[in-house]
Amino acid sequence: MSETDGEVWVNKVLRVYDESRVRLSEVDSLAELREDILRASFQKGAVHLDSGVEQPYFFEKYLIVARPTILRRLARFLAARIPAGTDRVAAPTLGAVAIGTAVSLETGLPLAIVRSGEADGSGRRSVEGGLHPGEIVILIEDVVVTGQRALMAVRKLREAGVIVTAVVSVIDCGRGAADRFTEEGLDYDSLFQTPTLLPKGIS
Amino acid sequence: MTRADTERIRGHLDELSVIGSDPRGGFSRLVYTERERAAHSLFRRWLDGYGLTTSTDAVGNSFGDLAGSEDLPVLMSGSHLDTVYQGGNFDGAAGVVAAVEIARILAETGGMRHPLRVAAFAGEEGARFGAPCIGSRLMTGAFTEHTLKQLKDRDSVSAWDAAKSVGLQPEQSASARWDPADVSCFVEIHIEQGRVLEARNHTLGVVHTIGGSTRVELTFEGRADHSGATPMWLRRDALVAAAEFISSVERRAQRHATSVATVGTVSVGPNSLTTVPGRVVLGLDVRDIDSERQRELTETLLDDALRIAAGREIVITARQLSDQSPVVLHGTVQNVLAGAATRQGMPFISMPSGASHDAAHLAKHVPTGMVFIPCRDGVSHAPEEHAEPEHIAQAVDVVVDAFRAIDEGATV
Repeated sequence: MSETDGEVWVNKVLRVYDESRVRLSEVDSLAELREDILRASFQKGAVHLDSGVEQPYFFEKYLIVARPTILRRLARFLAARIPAGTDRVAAPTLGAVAIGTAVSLETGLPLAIVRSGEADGSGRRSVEGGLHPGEIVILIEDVVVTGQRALMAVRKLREAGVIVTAVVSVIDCGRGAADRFTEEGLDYDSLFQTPTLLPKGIS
Repeated sequence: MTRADTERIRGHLDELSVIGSDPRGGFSRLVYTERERAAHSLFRRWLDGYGLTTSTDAVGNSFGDLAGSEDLPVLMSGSHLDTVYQGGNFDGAAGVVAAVEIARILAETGGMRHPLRVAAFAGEEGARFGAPCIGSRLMTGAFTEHTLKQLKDRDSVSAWDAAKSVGLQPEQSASARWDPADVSCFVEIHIEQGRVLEARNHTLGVVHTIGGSTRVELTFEGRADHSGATPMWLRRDALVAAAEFISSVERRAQRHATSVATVGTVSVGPNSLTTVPGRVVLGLDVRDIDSERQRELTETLLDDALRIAAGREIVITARQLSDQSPVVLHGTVQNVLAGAATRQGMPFISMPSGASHDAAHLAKHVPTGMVFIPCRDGVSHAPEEHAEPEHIAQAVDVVVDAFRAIDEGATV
């Protein structure tokens, strides 16, 4: 967020009967959240991601969910992106579960947890949370690179008989996941997108 | 490897302690006074002695620069030398003296690829003009020359005139703007100003978030009446309403571990033993490391004030004095500092900062970290403020280690 005079108001008379007197605007709140997420989790340096992609940066996503001051705001903004009429939110293990839980708390919608990875032959359910066939489910993701993990989770949810209509993510890394979701008939919404999210000089 | 010299740190603090000593007790080195400037001159003399290139910008921030072997952005450390009215000699000064010691060590040992910059920011304390971090915010562009003209002290002297009166060039405020690309990392060492480190029996804290604050002045307008002739049922007592509000502030703030809220000023009119208080003006300071909770708590308290007032036929008006969001510090810098502390054999705790600092403003532009050292009994902003030079020296060793790690390739 660029700093403006907005940071300090000296002697600003408040209209005491207004609904919002000292709250930040949604635009400023989101900009502030973006900066907090970057500072908490952004790391420079080439990494090989699970998806096989090599990136000159990554987001240490567990440092996002470990901070309640970030996670709570994140949940509020993600909750606003869950369409009316949704029955349940779902999140793939591991990193997205805390975010899914926070969105579940914020919205009041029940949660399903989807085991990431291929079936391990142990006979464990691939989706936990007692979901019922026919439910309308939104998948919550943390950082979407290629979207492979999300798509696998969507497949497992659909095998369980529910209707997955959309994926909502925290960060989209702009590596084609949006197109893959569209091909699967999924709406897609992400709170932040690279490269607009990234600090100067990183692409 | 050269270690921090506790006696040298003690000596520098002693030298500083003769500047701005207040006859009423403590130190009064207010922003844009000759005393603050004298402290800045001393800072520059120390650094000149270590071979750094020193400078003071148009708005009174002072710097010392040590070249590196490569053309890289600077590693930076520093704090402030101004104090509140009758403050102590460690709030800010400890971090500046620490940065000077970092400079001495790196100047003596050399071998760094990155250049080093140590800084003494002008006017971190909001005591004189109401707005804290004047120097660092002019540097980052959050404040401008216009802000300096708007800010007034209790004698109605503007910050612009005050700066001018001590030989600075507020009309050239824009020249103090920095380019964040010139800085690779900023670390501020500071006294904790609280009692958590002592309670946890630690001498080092690595800060993860700097708290924000929302400050509101509330006026409770009732009716001043004769305290003998006015029966209780006819009164509109502004002070009783304010008292009810103040207890509500305490109760609401206790709900979350990260929230604190304080009514620190109350003025009662007419403030007479035999008059029902007709008017109360109080100052509310709500702080949190959670940006939204800080504002939501303030909103709730404003609602409380209205509810309490409505039942007592009191009229509420409010002015927002200031509003500053909490700032999450860079995870990368925390990692480097934690690694350095571990290598130095220094146990530490990760903690929030309840008070605001220059680092909060720099963090919006460059990778920033903060290191806390304890202050005796948690006392700060008071003459009894004290920090152990030995603890400052330990923090210096940790930051030097961290800077070397970054110099050797640790990413921030």
